[in-house]
Amino acid sequence: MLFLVVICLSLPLMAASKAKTQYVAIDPAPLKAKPAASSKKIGSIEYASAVIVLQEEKSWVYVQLVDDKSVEGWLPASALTSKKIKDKANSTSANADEIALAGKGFNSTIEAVYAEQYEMNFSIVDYIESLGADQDEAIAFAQEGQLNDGGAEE
Amino acid sequence: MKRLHLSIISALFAAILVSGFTSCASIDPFADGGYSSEMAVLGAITSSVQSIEKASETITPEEEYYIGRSVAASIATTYPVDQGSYQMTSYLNKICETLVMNSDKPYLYKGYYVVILDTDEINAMATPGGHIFVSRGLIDCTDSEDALAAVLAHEIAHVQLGHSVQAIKASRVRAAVSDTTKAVAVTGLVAANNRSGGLNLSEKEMEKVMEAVNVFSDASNEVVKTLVNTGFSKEQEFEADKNALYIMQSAGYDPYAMLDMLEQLEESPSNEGWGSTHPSPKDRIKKVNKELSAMAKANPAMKEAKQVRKERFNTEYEDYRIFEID
Repeated sequence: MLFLVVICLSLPLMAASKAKTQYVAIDPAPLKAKPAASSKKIGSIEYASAVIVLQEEKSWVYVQLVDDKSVEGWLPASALTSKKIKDKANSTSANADEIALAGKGFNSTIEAVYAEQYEMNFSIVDYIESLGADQDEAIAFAQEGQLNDGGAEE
Repeated sequence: MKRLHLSIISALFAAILVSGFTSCASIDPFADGGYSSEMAVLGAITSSVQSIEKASETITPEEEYYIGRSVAASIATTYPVDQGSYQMTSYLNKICETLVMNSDKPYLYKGYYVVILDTDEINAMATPGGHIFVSRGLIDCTDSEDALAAVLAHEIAHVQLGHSVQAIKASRVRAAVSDTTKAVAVTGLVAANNRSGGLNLSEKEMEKVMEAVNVFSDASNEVVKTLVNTGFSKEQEFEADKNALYIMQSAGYDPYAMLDMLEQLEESPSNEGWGSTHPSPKDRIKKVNKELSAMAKANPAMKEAKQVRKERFNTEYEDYRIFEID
C-alpha cells in the first residue's frame, strides 16, 4: 500500500488524478510501442500484475507496472480488469492453500484431475491452440488482401 | 459415474452449439428425449455451499480460458476435428487474426484459434477461451473470404461480449440458492483419485482439488441448464451480429458480406429445429440491414479489394476440396 502511495506521488501531475490500479488479464500481455495491435512489441507483463494507467487513447491505455516503474507501454484497455486477480496457482506442486484459493477456479492442476476423472483428451485442445496465426503472418495477409493491418508500422 | 459425466459433457456440448452461428444447423439439442431425466440426476450433483459461495464470485480470465478448454475438449469428442486441412485452417486463422487485431479486444487470456470440424452440419461455435470451430458444411456454404470473415466475426463477437460466460455467472449465482448435496459426486471423485494417484498431492490437497473440479462440473451443469433450455437470447444473437459488422468494418472487410452469409443460411434446407428463442436468419437479416444502413458507406475501393480476396478464397477453397476425403 505504501509502495503504491509512493508511486502515485512520483507520477506526473496529469496522471495523479486519473491514476488507478488495474490488473492484467492476459497471459502474458504484450506491451506495445504504440496504441495498435500490430505495433512493435517492446516487452510483456505477466498475468495478474498490477499496473497504473497513465494515459488513454481510444481503446488503448499507456500503463506502468506497479512493481517495476521502468516497465511501461501500450496495452488494449480490454487487457485490463479493475478486479484484483489472484496469482495463478498453475503448478501441479501448488500447495493446499494455493489450491484452496483457486478453489472456485479452474487451472492446469484442476484440468489435469478433471481430464483424468472425465476421460477428456486435452491434447486435441493443445493442438487447436497451436493453430492460431501469428501477428506478422496476419499483417502480411491483411496487406495482401487490402485489409487493415491494425496500424502496423512500415 | 463416468457415464453420467460423459452425458454432462455431451449435454454441455449441445448447450454450446446453441451459441453458434448456426441458424441453419441441423443439430437439435432438444431432440434428446433422455435429457430431462438426466438433468434430474445432475441436479443432485452440486457442490458444497462453501464452494458455491466461491463460485459466485466473478470468473477470472484464467478460468474463462480453462472452461473454454474443457468445452473445446468436449466438442472434439463429439465431432471429428480436421487435422489434415492445414492450408484452409491456416487461412481461417489468418482471417481471424486480421479481425481481432483490428478489434477492441485483440488479445484474450491466451488467444484466438480456429479449427475445422469435419462434418456436413452447418455450424460454428466458440468457447469462452477463444477456441472457434467452423464446420466443413459451413465453409461449403460460403463463397468469399468476406463471407467467411462474417462467420468468424460473429463468433469473435460472442467471445468478446462474454456471452457464454454471462450464462455461467448467472447460473452459478442461482446455484447458490438451490438445494445442494455433493456426497455422491465427491465420494466418486475421491475413490477415483486414490486409484489414479496421478498428482503428487496429499489427501487434504487432493480434497481441495476435487472440490474445485466439482465446482467446475457444477458450472458446466448450470451452463447446460441455462443454454440448452434457453439458448443465447435473441438479443445476444443480434448483438453478436451487430458487433460482428463493426469488427468486419474496422478490419476492412465488407460488412454487407454478413447479409450474403445470412441469406445463404436462410436458403439452407436444414434451417429448422431450433428453439423458439433462437432468431431466424430472416429476423437477423432484418436487424443487420437496419444496422448496415446506419453504418458509413463502403470505401469505393472496396469492390476491387473484395475481388482480390475472392480470388484467394477461390484458390484456398479449391485446394481444400481437392484434399477432402469423402
